[in-house]
Amino acid sequence: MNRWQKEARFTLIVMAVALALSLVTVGVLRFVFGFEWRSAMAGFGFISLMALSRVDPSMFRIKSKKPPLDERDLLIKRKAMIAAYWGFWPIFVLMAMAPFFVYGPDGKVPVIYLCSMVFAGMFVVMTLYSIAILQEYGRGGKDGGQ
Amino acid sequence: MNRWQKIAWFNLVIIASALLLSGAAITILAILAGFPKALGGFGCLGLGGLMGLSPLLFRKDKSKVSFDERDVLFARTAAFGGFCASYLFFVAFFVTALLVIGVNGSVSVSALGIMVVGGYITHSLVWSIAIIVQYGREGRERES
Repeated sequence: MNRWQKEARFTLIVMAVALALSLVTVGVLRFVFGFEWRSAMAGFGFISLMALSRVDPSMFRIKSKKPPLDERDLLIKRKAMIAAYWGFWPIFVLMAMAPFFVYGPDGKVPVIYLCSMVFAGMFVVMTLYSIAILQEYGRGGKDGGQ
Repeated sequence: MNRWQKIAWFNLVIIASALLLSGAAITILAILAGFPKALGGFGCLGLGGLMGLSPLLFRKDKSKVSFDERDVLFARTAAFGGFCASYLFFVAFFVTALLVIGVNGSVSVSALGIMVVGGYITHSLVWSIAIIVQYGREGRERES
């Protein structure tokens, strides 16, 4: 398993933990403690845990004498990033258009909604990117073995 | 000049026209009717929809190979640059809204539509520039 695969797997784990913790917290705040939905949404603060996925790239540093990246790795990385953005765009457009249908053309949304759109977009990009990297190299990790 | 370069130049002309017309319309409406009515000038950005015609205007030539590995690399790099730029545009839009309106403020639903259109135009603009820069401005590097 090479550096990109390890990074991708680590990112996926961090994302899954962040999302699970957020959802559990929102559920606990709403249904156990009886907070209103608006207050319970504060549980999504745990989504910021996804920053951990970029905390220490040095832990994935390659120790072998082989060059860390060749053309194939760069091609896979580029393809994965483009796939991630192709997935991100429709979701982002849906999130932008949903309030139009919910609140009508004269409606208004809080500025925090824009913040959630940007964060959700980053979440989608990083998740799809990691999945695409793992998919491109193959699940067994044999293709990018180091 | 190959097909992608033609599409890139076409997109650039459309985007420049749409931005210029929007700027002019907003300025004229601001003088005549004031804000926020002048923001209706953003409607001229709809001209950007003409970019959707580019695959029809510049059709593939089936008689010869028009796309090799180098073209694929250029196209991927340009798409990557475009996507990154559009994401930065979204972040900039959000930060600007946050600074101008405040944390507890709210934005019109139509602003979200403008944000998406702006992101699309940013993507197309950076994609077109990246394609033109990679092939070379004169179009000498890739004749077809």
